[in-house]
Amino acid sequence: MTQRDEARVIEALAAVVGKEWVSNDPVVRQCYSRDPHPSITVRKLSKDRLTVPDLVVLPSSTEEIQAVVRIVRNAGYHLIAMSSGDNLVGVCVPTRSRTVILDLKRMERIYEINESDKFIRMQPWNSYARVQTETMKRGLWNGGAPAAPGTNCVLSNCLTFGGAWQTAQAFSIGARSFLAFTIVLPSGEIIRTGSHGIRPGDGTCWYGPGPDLRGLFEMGAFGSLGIITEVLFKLHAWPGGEWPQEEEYGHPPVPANHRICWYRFNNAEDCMKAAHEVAYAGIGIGVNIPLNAVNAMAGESHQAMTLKRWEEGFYEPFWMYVVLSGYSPGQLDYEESVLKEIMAECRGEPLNEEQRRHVDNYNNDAFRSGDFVRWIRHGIYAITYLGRGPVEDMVKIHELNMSKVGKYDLPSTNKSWPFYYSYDRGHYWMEERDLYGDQLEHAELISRITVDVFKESDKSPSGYWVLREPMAQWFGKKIGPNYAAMVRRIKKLFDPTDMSNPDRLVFMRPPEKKAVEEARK
Amino acid sequence: MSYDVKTRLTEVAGDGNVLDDEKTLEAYARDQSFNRSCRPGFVVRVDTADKVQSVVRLANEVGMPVVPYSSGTDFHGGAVPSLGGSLILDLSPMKQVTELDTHHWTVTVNPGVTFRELNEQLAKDNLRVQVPLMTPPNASVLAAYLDREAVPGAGDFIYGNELLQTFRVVLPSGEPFTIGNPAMPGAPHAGPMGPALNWYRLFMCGQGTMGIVYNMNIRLIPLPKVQKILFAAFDNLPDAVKAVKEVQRQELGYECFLLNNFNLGVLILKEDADLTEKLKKGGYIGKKGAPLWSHDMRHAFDASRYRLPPWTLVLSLVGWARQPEAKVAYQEKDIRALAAKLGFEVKTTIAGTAGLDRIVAEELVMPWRMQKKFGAKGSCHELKFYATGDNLPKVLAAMEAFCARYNYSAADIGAYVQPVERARSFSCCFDLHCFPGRPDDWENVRTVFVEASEAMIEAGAFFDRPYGPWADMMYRRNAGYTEYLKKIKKELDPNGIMNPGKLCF
Amino acid sequence: MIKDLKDYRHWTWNCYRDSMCKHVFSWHLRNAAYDDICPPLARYKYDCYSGQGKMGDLARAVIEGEMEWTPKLLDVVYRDPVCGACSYNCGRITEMQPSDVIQAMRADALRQGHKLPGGFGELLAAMRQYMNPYQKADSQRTAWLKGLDPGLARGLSSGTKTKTLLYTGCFPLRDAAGEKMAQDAATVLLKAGLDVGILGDRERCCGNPSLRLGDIDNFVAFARENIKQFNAMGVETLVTVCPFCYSTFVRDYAGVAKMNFKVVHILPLVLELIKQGRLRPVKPLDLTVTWHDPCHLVRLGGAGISGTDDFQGIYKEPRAIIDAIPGMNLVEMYRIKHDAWCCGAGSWQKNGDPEMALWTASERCREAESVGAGAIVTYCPHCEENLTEAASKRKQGLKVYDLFDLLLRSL
Repeated sequence: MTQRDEARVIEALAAVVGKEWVSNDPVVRQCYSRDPHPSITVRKLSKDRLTVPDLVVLPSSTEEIQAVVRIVRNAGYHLIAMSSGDNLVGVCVPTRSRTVILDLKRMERIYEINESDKFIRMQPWNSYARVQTETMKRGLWNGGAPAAPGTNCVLSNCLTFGGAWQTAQAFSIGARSFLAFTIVLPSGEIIRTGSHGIRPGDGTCWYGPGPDLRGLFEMGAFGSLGIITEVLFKLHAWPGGEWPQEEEYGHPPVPANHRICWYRFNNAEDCMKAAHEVAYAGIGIGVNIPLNAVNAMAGESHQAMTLKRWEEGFYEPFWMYVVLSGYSPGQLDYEESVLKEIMAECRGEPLNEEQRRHVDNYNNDAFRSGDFVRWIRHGIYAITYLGRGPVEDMVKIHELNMSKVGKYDLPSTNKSWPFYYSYDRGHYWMEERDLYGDQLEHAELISRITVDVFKESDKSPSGYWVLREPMAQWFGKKIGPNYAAMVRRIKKLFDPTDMSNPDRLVFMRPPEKKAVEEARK
Repeated sequence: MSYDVKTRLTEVAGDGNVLDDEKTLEAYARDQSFNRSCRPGFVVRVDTADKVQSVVRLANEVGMPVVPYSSGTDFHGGAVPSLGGSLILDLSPMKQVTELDTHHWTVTVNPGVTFRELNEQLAKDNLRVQVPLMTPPNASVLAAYLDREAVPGAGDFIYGNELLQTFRVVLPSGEPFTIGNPAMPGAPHAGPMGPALNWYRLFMCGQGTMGIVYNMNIRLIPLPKVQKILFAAFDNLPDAVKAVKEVQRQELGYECFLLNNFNLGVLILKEDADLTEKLKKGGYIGKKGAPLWSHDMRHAFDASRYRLPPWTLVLSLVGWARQPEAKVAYQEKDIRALAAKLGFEVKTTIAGTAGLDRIVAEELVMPWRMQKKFGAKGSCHELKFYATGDNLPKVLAAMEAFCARYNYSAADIGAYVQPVERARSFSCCFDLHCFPGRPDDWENVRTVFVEASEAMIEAGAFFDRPYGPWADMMYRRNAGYTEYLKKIKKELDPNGIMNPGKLCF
Repeated sequence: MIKDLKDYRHWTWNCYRDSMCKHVFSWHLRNAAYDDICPPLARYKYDCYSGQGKMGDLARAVIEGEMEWTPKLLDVVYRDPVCGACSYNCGRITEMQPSDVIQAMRADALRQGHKLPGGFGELLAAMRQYMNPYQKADSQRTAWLKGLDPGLARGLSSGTKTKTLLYTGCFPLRDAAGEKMAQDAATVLLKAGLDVGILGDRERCCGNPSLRLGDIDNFVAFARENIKQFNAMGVETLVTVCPFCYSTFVRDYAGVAKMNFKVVHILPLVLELIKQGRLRPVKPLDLTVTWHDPCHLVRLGGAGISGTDDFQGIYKEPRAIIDAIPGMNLVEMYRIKHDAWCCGAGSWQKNGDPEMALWTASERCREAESVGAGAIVTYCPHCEENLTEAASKRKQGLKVYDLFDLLLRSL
């Protein structure tokens, strides 16, 4: 690819999006080359020049993206669509030369909040904070917040992580709230799904017609089959009224008609029993058992205190919070009464006043992300285990992780229990285990442990449903039957030239090793 | 050729499981729908996944279309071949319940397991599978769930009618494929998502089109410990819909739906003991329709239907294992407060019908009474679609306009309106009835069916399962999507042997 | 505490690219149409203009030797009001402060001898030559006193006899509006009968322009000189007027030398005087106003964010003063307190990139108009100047007032 070729591409792109919205300046490009996932940190430390894209484009509409896709494809470039880009798993960092980053920041329009049929229609770049702010005013909300920054885009968060919400007990995985998409395919064609397909903006039905294509663009696709340019997202009733503003730093009041109840347990067995019973009792919108290390980070306003209290053992394992939401005092009282009954049976004790004062800091994160994100404060961070299965697997996941982590010299917060979120009234739980390092050298180590844990996850009882870094490289061979072949066929059908976010869902070509080696020299 | 195929099929399916006698072929050539009949070449009964794979591989080899058949109770031509000489793959012998997890409330079934069989088994563990209200007891659980049939509790869900979790498929190539966690050997069942992509949606609607689903894990709920059925009467659909939306917005009750007076009349219609037995078994509706009501039933129906309000809201308050009375009590208090605010009356029965709450409670666990609607004229043609609350009255008006044009009495429209996902949308079943033995009536109602459907789409109806005449209506409205459906179908089924002629394929 | 760029290596790698530096803290977001908190990012959209782009990508690349200084890099690093919005959000969660890294980048650029973009070069020259940003002689620092009520002016001590010193800062050198603001500040304190002194032509710049430009050696010289003088004078309380000065004293002087005096801002002091009844606003002013929080009073007014809970800032006091004035109706904008949108004049953008500064101010005016305010009230000479110009260009009838101007009218 010569400079003249690139100039031609820039000119063509500029004709579509406007001159100011396409750039090949190294300063601009550098800022789309990194992600905190340790594997990317390792790539950056090795000065892997493939991490830096060649061009950055900021479109503003479906039609512009359609034109961009055609130009990029015809020029033999690759395309990676990116919203807020904070996926923490590196899926927007280029892996190949001639990559164009499609920064969706200009696509932030909220077209409609349909109060009658409870959905929001919007462009792809809309954060949880934006969506929740506008919907809660109207007595609605999206149904949950991930333990992630409120600046995460709703669409991309649900695509990358499925939408792991703290209120998944009632509202399920975020991806289930997708109602319809407009998608620009790698061919440049546009398809729309569900009733939105026959009447744009119509939220009547989230299927078909007939066999449904929408699922192929959700979750693990990461834009490798097409770029979602408009989404209809389901909303739920919000009985919480006006969002309460934080008057005193770190102590936001809980919204009206909601209660957050914290309990502690002396052992895993009691905790798991209570978790199962609460989840299946038909009460609450969220049942969560956070990593005790996460409690230690989110519960303290600075890291020095986190470490001090962690060493003191203030943040014990097996604390559980149950989020109750009600439309009447009768409902809340009933649900709390059932909760107390279960806790009495399972020897759950309410947190004492001092413990409660600390975790209260992030109560409101169950509805809108705020201080909870302090779990990233250690520096080097990776989600090590993200599976799903019954809550009874908690001990096994802990043992699996400890067998990998225990032998290395990592911060003591790694000796933590996993995070368990109830999904679909306990029908399954999402299991999350994070790893923390505070030195750059830990990046490589954690990256390695993460791969080890994933690779051996078939020895543990749970499964994965989103394949992210570094899993795609080897997972396909392991999972079956015919999984890898199916992914390959679908990818080839939608993206025969492997243009759209290559090396994510499935490896269609060997990696650009040569270029990497050259860069190392 | 034919002889060779039969031999080879017999080798796979076993003696006596490959049928090509006139009577059998004729029986599988039709159902009570308007779809034209089409005689298959063979009917092959299989009882294992291996046999399904082998038959599909053989069909690929010889280029014979395959039409999977589970229970044949969809009454829309779903299991009737579109091409002559097809192979009917009868999955009904696959009756295994392969797993039952009473701790996590899930069950794994093969396609031959019926709602009645399963619920009888589950009741021993105080559990139940949720049954679509209009579905006969002998319907395949797997096929109904795969076909996205809404259940009466669908208003309570936030994920539509996806009560299925994971499932296993035989692809059109004969290769196996697994949806969700179990694709990782040894992993437990969980939601249907993954691995990586949400494949499960691709196989929904149209069993055997993208593959044959032969084993499915689904969610259960416990039997109610305390239950109270409440009713409210409405003069018109907009008011009824408004009430449902508010009830759902406050998340009151579990099962919730609307019936019009025709269908409520069917529900409470008394029959003789023999018929009761038949209905409970599920053999009432045949390939050419159902037997007409007796004179007494007809008389009773006509006497009652006009006493019933045009629309009835049915709401079931359910208490499960913990403090069930307290739950039902607060919900009843809240629903009465809401009713007072909106200006409707909460009742314990409708039009003085004795035992209506008991009838409904039974139907919610194991419905069988609504099959009787097929006997009103002998043949019943369901228009199953989604519509939003605001559009629903317009859709009904569009249908009524065509009824008027063709002299079909609007009073003879049966209507069942099921809120889904807190009434975000409504899964509806509007019925047209006709006499199968009267060609004029048959033709006239068929015309209403087709022409009204088109107008209903314009008014906001969405036929998400576009069988028969709806296929063209729906797919031509979304050409880009349809093109890619076809491409995927071609990729997975290059020989075009799986259920050809259905949907857009 | 001023650190070298390389000292921020750990932060640059630790940046999570979580975009929290770009938007109003999500618990505080009131309107999706006003969720931007970073002016350059809001305008130019490319990630390099955000806090995370500058800290996590550009500073990191410079430190690791992956990137050389180029005119574009200088442009990106200097086209920034260093308003601290990124630091509030990032600091709250991860204890990192992108604003500090941006300043360290500027110091790095300057140390390497790069020519500063836009009008920043001229400002740097002015600071080095005149020791103030307005290219005025120190003798002119007393000019504003001429407009002060002579009766009141007599109450001002020379600054050698009092323990409380009114530090006006350089802005009275700027123009008539600057002079008036200084006069109003002094008038309010004197009307309350406070014993307060001024330094007159012996006052020196706090060094904020040097700091913001990256001219660290000069900034440290200013800081040392000032601290030495106030310590020597036995000052107990230094009352600041300009929020830039206030922030510089409380945040940036830390670590330079020990200060034997307390630094306060005039707003909390005046509120206290009102509470004590020493100032009595009685005349009603029939105005619907909104309060614009100057960045340097809220986010940049804390002693330091990293590792502390010090997020207090000065935002309650001005609102209480407005409430104390009869007839004033305060309507809030969407981005307030720690989440206030910068007026655009931060970091001397008005000198460096006046067009960008004005765009930012115009956005703020649009926000004020959208909540039905007839006027923006603020208390910062830089905010006031920039917002006044933007409001006048917008021609929507929006007024901009200095809080003490209104207070004095009501007394």
